[in-house]
Formats: sequence, structure tokens, C-alpha cells
Amino acid sequence: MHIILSTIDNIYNWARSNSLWPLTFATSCCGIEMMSATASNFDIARFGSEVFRASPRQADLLIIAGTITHKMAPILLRLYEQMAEPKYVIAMGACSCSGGMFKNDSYSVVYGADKIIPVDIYLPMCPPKPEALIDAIKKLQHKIKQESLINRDAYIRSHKTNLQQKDDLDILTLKEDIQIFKMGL
Amino acid sequence: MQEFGVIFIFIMLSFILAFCMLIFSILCAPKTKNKVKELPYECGNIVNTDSRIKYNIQFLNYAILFLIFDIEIIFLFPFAISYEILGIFSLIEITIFIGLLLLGLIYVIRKKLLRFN
Repeated sequence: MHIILSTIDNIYNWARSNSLWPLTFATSCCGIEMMSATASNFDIARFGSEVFRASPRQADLLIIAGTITHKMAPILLRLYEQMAEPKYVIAMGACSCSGGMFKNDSYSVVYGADKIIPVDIYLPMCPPKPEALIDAIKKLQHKIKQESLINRDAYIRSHKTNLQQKDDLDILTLKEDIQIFKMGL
Repeated sequence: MQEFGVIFIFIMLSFILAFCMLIFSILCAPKTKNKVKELPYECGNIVNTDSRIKYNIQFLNYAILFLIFDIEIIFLFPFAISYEILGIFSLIEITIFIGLLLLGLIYVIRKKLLRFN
């Protein structure tokens, strides 16, 4: 049984990790580096991630490329919730890792995307070079290859947002969510 | 007949492959369900109006003018160029077409839409 499962794991993880489709989500200057990584000089297609989807329902990977403001926070959370499992997140750039240069003195910036959604790979620098993004994707692929079908529940638990754990998703369907978020963060 | 057999095998294989993929993903993929996942996608924002927009009926006049003076030319021009190849049947067709649009022109003239003061 164990041999069969590990064989299926190998095939499943190999297929998933080599076809990570990112969501088109670039909030500021890191997005330019992300575009550069997609273009022919760096060519992210070599690692199976060139298909940037315009809808979260088709995407596996959310690259948070740029500053997350309080106004963007509910939108980011909603997009994350709308992605189909299994989903992964790369926090690209200092702003989405910790708030970056806006840390401690900005009234409008979320100090780190991990305050809102669970992050798998942190990619610091301001902005990261395309090679660094490729490295992050390679690291994520390595992480996916360690996963097993037996630990699926652990995956779901570790990729839940705080709101989902509290079963408090109703505020995301309202229009006043921006104000609520600003108070909460 | 040999070639059609190959096509049949190809079609069967593609069905089997797609079926296997679906079954595999149903069995293996982790799933969660919630309210936000079922919201319509509007770049992450909440939808606030209906996607079907109602246009004002006054735009009908402009639509008729556009049909008569723009679309008609687009169809008439290739007809005029290749009339000798197409023959008499195409002449009948284009006469019906112009006849229909002529009703629109009469309507427009009666409504005094061609007077620009």
C-alpha cells in the first residue's frame, strides 16, 4: 500500500510542481520584474509557470508582486479564497514580506501579506531580480515534491486564512469590508 | 479504411485520457467550499450592478444610420468588384438587401434625422 501511494505521490507531485500556473496579480514595481521573468530573456516557461491566468479559478500560484495596501487587502483575500486547491503563495518583494520601506510609519500599508493569507515562500529584496523569482519557484517546486496524499488534511489546515478558521467569511461578501479590514490589521 | 481506424483510436484515447485526469483529480485534490469561492469573479471586487446594460431606445436611430451608410458600403464594395464572376443570382440577392435597407432610409427621412441644423 505504501509503495503504491508513494508512486502516485511521485507522479502527482511531479505533474503539479512542473505546471504551476500563476495568477496575474501585480500591485506595484515587483510586477515589472515578474513580467521580465516571463519574457524571453529569463523565460519562466522553462519551469512550467508561463501561463499567467486572468482568473483565480484556473490558477495554482499567487505571486504577490508588490505592496499590499489596506484597500487591496480584502481583494487579495477574496482572490486567494477563490483559487482552487491546492494553492500556493509566493510573497515577492520586501513590501509583501514585511511591509518593506513602509514598515512602521505608513498608515495605508499592510505590514506583510502573511497578516492576511498564509505564505509558502518569502522572497525578499526590493525588487527581486527575475532570477530570484525563478529561484523562489524552484524552491516552491521542491516544497510541493515533499508533499504526500496522506497529509492532505494538514495541507488544508496550513493553507487556511484566519477568517476561514474563525468561519467569519461573511464580511468578504459585503461592501464595507475595507473599513473592517483596516480596523483589524 | 485504415486511416479512419487510426482516427478512431485517437478519439478513444483522448476520451480515456480526459476521463482518467478527471477521476484522478477528484480522488487526489484537496477541496474546500465556502461562500467567497462561489462569488462571481470581478477582479476581486464585489459586483455592484447587473452585467446586462440597458441602452436607451434613442440609439436605435443611430443604429439604423450606421447600417445604411456604413455596413451597406462594406457589403456593396466586394459585390461591385466581383460582379462578373458572381453573375445574375448575386444581383437579385443584393437587390433584396438594398431593398430592406431602403425601408430604413425611408424611415430615417420621414423622421427628419438627416437634417443637421
